[in-house]
Amino acid sequence: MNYTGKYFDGKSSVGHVADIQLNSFQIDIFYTDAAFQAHHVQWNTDKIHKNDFAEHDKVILKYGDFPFQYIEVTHKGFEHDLKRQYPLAPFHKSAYNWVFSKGAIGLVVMAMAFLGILAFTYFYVVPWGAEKFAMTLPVEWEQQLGESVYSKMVSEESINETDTKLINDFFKKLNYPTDYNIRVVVVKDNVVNAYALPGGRIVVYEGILRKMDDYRELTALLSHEFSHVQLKHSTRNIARSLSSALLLSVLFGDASGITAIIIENADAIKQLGYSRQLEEDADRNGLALMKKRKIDPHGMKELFETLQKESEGEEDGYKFLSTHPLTKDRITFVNKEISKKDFIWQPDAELDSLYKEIQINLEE
Amino acid sequence: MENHTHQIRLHGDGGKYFGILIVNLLFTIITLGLYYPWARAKNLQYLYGETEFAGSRFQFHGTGNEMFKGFIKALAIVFVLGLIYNLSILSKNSAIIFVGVAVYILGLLTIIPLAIHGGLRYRLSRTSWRGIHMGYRGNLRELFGIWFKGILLTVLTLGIYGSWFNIALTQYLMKHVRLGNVKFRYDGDGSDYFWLNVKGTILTILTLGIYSFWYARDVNHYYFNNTKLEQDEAVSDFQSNLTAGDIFITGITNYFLIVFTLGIGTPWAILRQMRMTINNLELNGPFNPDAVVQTEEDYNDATGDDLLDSLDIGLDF
Repeated sequence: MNYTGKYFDGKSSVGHVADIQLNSFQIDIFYTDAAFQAHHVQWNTDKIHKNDFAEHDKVILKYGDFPFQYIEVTHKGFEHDLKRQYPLAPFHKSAYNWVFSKGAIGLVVMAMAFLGILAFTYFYVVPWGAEKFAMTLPVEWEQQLGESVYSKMVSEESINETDTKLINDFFKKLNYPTDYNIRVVVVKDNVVNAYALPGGRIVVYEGILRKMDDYRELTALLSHEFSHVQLKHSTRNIARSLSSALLLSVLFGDASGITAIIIENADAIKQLGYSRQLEEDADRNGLALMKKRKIDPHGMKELFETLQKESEGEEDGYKFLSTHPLTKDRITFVNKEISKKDFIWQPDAELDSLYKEIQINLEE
Repeated sequence: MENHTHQIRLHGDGGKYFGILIVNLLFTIITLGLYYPWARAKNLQYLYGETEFAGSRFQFHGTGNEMFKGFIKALAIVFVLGLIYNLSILSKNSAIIFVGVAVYILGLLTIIPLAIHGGLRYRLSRTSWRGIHMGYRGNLRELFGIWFKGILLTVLTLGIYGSWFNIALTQYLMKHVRLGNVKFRYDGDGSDYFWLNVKGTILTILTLGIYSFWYARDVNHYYFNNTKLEQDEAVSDFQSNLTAGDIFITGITNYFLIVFTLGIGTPWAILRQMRMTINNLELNGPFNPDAVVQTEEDYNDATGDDLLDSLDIGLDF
């Protein structure tokens, strides 16, 4: 196969018009220079450089070591003949040329697949990984995180000091085994809400205490929130919801701001809903704790039912429901758990009296 | 000697460029960023290969392997500087913060000329046309001299010396650029450039930004029209025919091209933007494209080029 092209010898910019032959094992190049001297150059196909992004009507091949030689052939059939003559030669192999060989539709499909992978990673893989990572964090780190969020939140709230002391006494009487330093705080606000922060802070609003009927319901609430802390739900939840934002901030160059982002989002953390699975885990764990402590588990069911029923009439204030979705399914779930295990319970005078004191201090 | 006009053209096909960028992005993400140097090499390889001067294409010879080594070194340098800065801030001790920030700023100021020097040597060594390699023969110590004198005077004159600094730097760099035995030269003058900037800034403010297109055109013309090629004592002139209208229209249409395609049009926009500058260039004079002789040596340390990339400084040739 013979072609006419230009040969550059790597020594000067003169393009010699050359006869280019594609022979079985090598490319032979014949040209005559300005001094009418005839030249024959042989190219071993293994030493031809990779030919990415070749254009169909113009092929430029580069050869050997520095300074490189070139041939330039402007002919539609040349690229095709090169491939046919040297199908196994290394200079053809290129991931890019493989992609281009798929044509426009192939490119679009690849772009879509790529966007799909990206979206999947962003919405599922990253949060999942962040959650797994969060579970390995040491308690001290969780505590630090919880404290920084807590101090930001509490600066905006006023605290019922007496009830805070009483409710901590109440919680200590429950005697739940834990590595966390659990500290409960009662906030003077009529919002019906309670939430747990990573590392051991539990925030209870006066509003939810007012809705309660007896100490069993308070035990249920605290057992549930404590379970969120103990099972690292709060840490996992924050890691999950902020992971994508964190990833973006790391990708775009601000790796230092992780804690800053978490603190900035402190208010959003209050509103974070748990997944249904996490809620069930917390309910189950809470019930198990109550069982061990011999407290009537119906307290949990009754607490949920009161909150559920009363919320139907009102629009505002029931923040607990947005962060702890109380579906009918969940009440059924609690019922089932109660009937499954043989609970034994007995009245607890100490808890009862602490509970009553808490209620009295609300009335002021 | 006869005078000729030689055109410079950027060909390039948006669809193909899109494919290259997509593959680059894909590999870079799959490898958690490690592919980036190879991606950069492929990107340059495509763009150089699509640029034609006097009927022949440029070639970029840099390889991912070379650029990866430079990438790691550049990353290490930038990382150490960043570490010094962050650790000093975290210490919360004002004396340590002062020293840390001073080291950081001095470090950055020292890195930039180093990066320009190394970057030009690498990038030009890896650029060829008709098999003839370009090269940069500047001296690092001289460059440091111009650089620190320029920074110092620019700070002392509250920025006024910036125009002279810019021109002095361009002159020095250009003077040491080679294409084989062809030399480059830059004839710009600090005072002219200063008044060009004064006029441009004032009129831009007075016209609420409208003049900025003419200002950008003036800067472009001042840059290219003062760039010369010397081939065996014969001087040829670059000329830019870019108009303010080109800048305005290209800017607006590219904006819509990117926004309305949700970014998919970006490769087309990049090519259009580059074409606007390159296709308006021509070389006038006795330059003989068949008489360039190979003179430059091989140079394969890409650290400077990667440093410039990580500091986001472009090498626009």
